[in-house]
Amino acid sequence: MIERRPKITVSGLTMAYGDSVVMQDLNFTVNERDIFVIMGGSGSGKSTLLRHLVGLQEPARGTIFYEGTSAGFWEMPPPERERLLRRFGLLYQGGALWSSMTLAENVALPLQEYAAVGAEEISALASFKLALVGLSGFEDYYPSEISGGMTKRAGLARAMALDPDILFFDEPSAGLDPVSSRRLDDLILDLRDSLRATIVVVTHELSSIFAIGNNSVFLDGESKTMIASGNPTQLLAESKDPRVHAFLTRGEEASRG
Amino acid sequence: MEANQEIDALRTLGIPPMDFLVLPRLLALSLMMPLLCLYADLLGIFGGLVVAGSMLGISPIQYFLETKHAVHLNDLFLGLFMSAIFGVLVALTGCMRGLRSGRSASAVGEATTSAVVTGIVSIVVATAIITAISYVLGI
Repeated sequence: MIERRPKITVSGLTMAYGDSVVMQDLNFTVNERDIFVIMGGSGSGKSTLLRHLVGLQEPARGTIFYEGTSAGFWEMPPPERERLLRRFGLLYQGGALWSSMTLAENVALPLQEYAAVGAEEISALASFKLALVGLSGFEDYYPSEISGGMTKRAGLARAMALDPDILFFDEPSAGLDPVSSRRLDDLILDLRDSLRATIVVVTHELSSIFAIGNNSVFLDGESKTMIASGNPTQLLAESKDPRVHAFLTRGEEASRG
Repeated sequence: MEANQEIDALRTLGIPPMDFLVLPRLLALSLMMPLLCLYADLLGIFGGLVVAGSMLGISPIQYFLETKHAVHLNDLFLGLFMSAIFGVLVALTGCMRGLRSGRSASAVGEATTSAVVTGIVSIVVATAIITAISYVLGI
């Protein structure tokens, strides 16, 4: 078995809004080329954890350490943090495309900011990234002119613009029909293999969790901490915790009594 | 934009929203407002000409001579200066309220109303200050 290096190490993380603690004592490791699923019930703090992982929110306590950096995310010098941000790709729940720009311009902006290539190459790269997610020919469309599924795919093209080595997905299947959701899962698996990227996914879609996840953390809103971690399929088979079991079986076993 | 996570998307790319969103609006409004003011001044003078000619029987030459006598270049420049200040205030209040907006649809509406009210109040205050200074300086 190939030993994979830790890509993200979370130690003693406590997340809070002011005095109100959302989650505490989170400790887990995301290994390289994992598809790591952050799961838990609604309002358990999954998206908040994602915001902490990508540096949009500062932890109340604890550290988030990324492989190849000199210190924890918030402890490292700002220039190093900016360099680290360029290694991230993030797909937001609603796509979060910039509404005043076309799809090609959305994908091109990160390249214009950080890639040392000319305008023609940037345009070609933007078209290529859009083609990768099946949006060839939609370069000149505005976000308001395309469907929700296409918005997500365009958001994914933008997230891949700088060939990130860590991709974050916030509820990628939310609002998608089962077929589109399945296609997106396949795309995530392809990306892991083709980009050799590490992927972190926030979701509570069971079909996605079992289809793509090989590692996970389970957040429990009541106890305000993580109550399980590991491969979701193994968790389903081996976890003795009734909350984890109820979640992974959609509460069917509990309802059967 | 905040509601749609567009600002978060900028931040995670390491692009400061101030550079990308605020500065272009600040520059655009502070440059364009004086031009709009000039346009309004010219239209105002032309409107006066139409009223003076059609309702008061004043000839165009007489109207322009009287206008030239009554309005000085100082008035024009003070108007242009004030419009540039108003442009900066509108841009800053709009961006400030927009960046602080919550994520829900109602929060966007509240931020819009708040931006309009803050913009109007700041323009009234700025007008009072500029008028007082102009009066003291005899402009």
